[in-house]
Amino acid sequence: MPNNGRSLNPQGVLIIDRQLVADNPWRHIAAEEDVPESGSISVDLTRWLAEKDQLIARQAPVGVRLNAADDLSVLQDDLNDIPMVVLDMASYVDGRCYTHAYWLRERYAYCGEIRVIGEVYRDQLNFLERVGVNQFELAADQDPQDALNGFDEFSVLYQPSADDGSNIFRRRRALD
Amino acid sequence: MYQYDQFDHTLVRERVAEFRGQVERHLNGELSAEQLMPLRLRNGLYMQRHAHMLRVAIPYGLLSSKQMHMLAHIARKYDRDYGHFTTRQNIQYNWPELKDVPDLLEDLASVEMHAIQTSGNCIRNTTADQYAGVAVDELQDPRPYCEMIRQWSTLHPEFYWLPRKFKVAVTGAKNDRAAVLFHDIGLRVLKNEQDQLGLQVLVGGGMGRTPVIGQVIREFLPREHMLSYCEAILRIYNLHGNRDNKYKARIKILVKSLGIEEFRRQVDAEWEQIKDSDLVLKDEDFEQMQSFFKGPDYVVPSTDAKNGIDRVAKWRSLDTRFAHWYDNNTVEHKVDGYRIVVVSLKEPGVPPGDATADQMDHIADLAEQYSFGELRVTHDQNIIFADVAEADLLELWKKLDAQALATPNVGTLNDMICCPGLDFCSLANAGSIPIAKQINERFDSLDELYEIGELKIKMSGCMNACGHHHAGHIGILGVDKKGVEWYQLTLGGSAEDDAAIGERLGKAIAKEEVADAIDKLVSVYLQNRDKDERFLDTFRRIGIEPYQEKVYA
Repeated sequence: MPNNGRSLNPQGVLIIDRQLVADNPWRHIAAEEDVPESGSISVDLTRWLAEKDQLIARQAPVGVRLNAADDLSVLQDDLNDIPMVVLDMASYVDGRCYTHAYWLRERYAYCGEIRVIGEVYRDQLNFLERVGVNQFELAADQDPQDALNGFDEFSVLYQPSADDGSNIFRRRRALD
Repeated sequence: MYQYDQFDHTLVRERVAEFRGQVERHLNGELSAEQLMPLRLRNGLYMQRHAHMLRVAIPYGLLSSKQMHMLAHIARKYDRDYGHFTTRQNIQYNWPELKDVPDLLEDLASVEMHAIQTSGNCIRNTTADQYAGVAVDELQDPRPYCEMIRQWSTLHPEFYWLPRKFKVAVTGAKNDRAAVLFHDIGLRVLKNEQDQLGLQVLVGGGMGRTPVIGQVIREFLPREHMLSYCEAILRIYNLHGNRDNKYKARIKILVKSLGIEEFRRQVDAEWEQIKDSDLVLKDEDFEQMQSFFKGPDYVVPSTDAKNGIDRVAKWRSLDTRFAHWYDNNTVEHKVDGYRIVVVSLKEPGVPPGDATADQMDHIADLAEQYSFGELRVTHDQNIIFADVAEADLLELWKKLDAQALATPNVGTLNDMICCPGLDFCSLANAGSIPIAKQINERFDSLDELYEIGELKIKMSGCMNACGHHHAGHIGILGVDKKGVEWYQLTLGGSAEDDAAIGERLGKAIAKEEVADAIDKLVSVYLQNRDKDERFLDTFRRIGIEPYQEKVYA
């Protein structure tokens, strides 16, 4: 998929498990780029499916990058070989990657890293974390310190997802 | 009615705090107008033609007197002394200032109300039968189901950025008054042959540019699975709904393009994965929720009350105004000695659904005095007192009449549904309020209205169909032709069990000729009516041609 000219590696600040992280060794390799010999990288789904064996044999970690329109289910059998799934939010109003993250955690019991890149804004972080994302490459215009506050806006959750949230009616049962 | 517990209070307060922060960041220049937009939408705040518009959720239309007083207070403090009740049982304010909205939301939170998810591409307020709990034909009160859906869908992290808005309605009565066939998901509470409670699940209905009648995706879903099945539907929609064209993005288009069989297959495959998850509900969850809606302690009419009932009967024979009001604006109640009272917000000359702050306060006081402190907003943009003792009707009528709230036109042609139209809405192509006024003025004789009988006119100022024109016995759609307002008429729509999409009459009508055209349609009906036939039934029997001949002669 084309990236509409935007950079996949805009050098935004990285948050991992609610901590700001200075060092970001991962590079997201565009479809037309060559795969470098070293360094942690993500590749798009098409390349992964075509060159899976070589990529797994590579000495450094390779993650797979999904666009909102990609079919996650084709990765199902490969997940043990993938240390990181990168969800590319070309547009933050496109909610498909939320279901992708949820499925990775809940349907496929994926324990690797799930990172979002692209239009990653403070006010989405809480919801993204709830569906199972744990790494966030913030969009360049976001204030990193303030972004961390975005995780703590809510102390009450009404529904289960890929987090500690549980069915509110079950919680109420436990109170009686 | 439902009372918030610590969880609900905390969540709503935290939501206000979050939005306060977002507005502050915007006013400080840290959050652009473009970035704020989807965030404010999910807090009910639109940008309209002249100013911001805030839509406040009234879950399944139910309000306490205290809440109604707060709505009046908000109209005075943040708006221009009035509010507009909508067809989805909510209220809209047309003039709040952005900087004041967090305070406004905090005032709402103090009476267990909010504006969460009343706009934006997410799951909206769940609506229900306006006569829930008191209807004679009810099997199960739908409100506990609605409240459970409200909580499950509130800030659901996965379904906050859907392809398009998503609306759920629930009915538990024999006759559908919640338009379940015109919702993204419609639920009918029913029992199967083994006497188990469950839901018939409908999917893919909707109004808008492409009106579609919903289809059955599951004939009987045990109610314990209500949330998991809704979640499965939402997940398939979130992944596969159209995101390239907002006019093809509603679930109805996905269901149509896949076909109901394939859509059902995909939903069921997803549901298989989650049906035994944490989302399963237990009977005790329903019972606990139902305990909030068990209704007031009705009183068996005493001797005094019986005298009151006799007096009401006597006045009906003596005072035709009271008799008209009784016949049109009150409805049979499931409990003997009680009536449901419809407070008309359709005073001729006033925009349908508008109420002033003073009227809201009066309505709240009257509900306190005569209807156990509760009231409801209807799909037809009126207010209901659900539990009025028959003996109190005369007294209540006098008080409503003094506030211009007893116009005896409920169910008549003048009880129109109407969107705000060009006067307020930035989407509208044409005015709807002036057309309502024109029709009111043309049909100013109550005797004539009663002679015509039940005739639902529904009007939208543009094809987004907020006034549900597709489902009107007569539908009126405002269109713009080279800067001039014209009106497209449809006939034969219905939102009830006999759901139908109105048929186009013909070319659009000039603005000043709409009431004349309605008059002609009515005359065709009156000439062809068979005994007590409704307008809709005559139309269905004789077809559209006689109407076309008359209007375009």
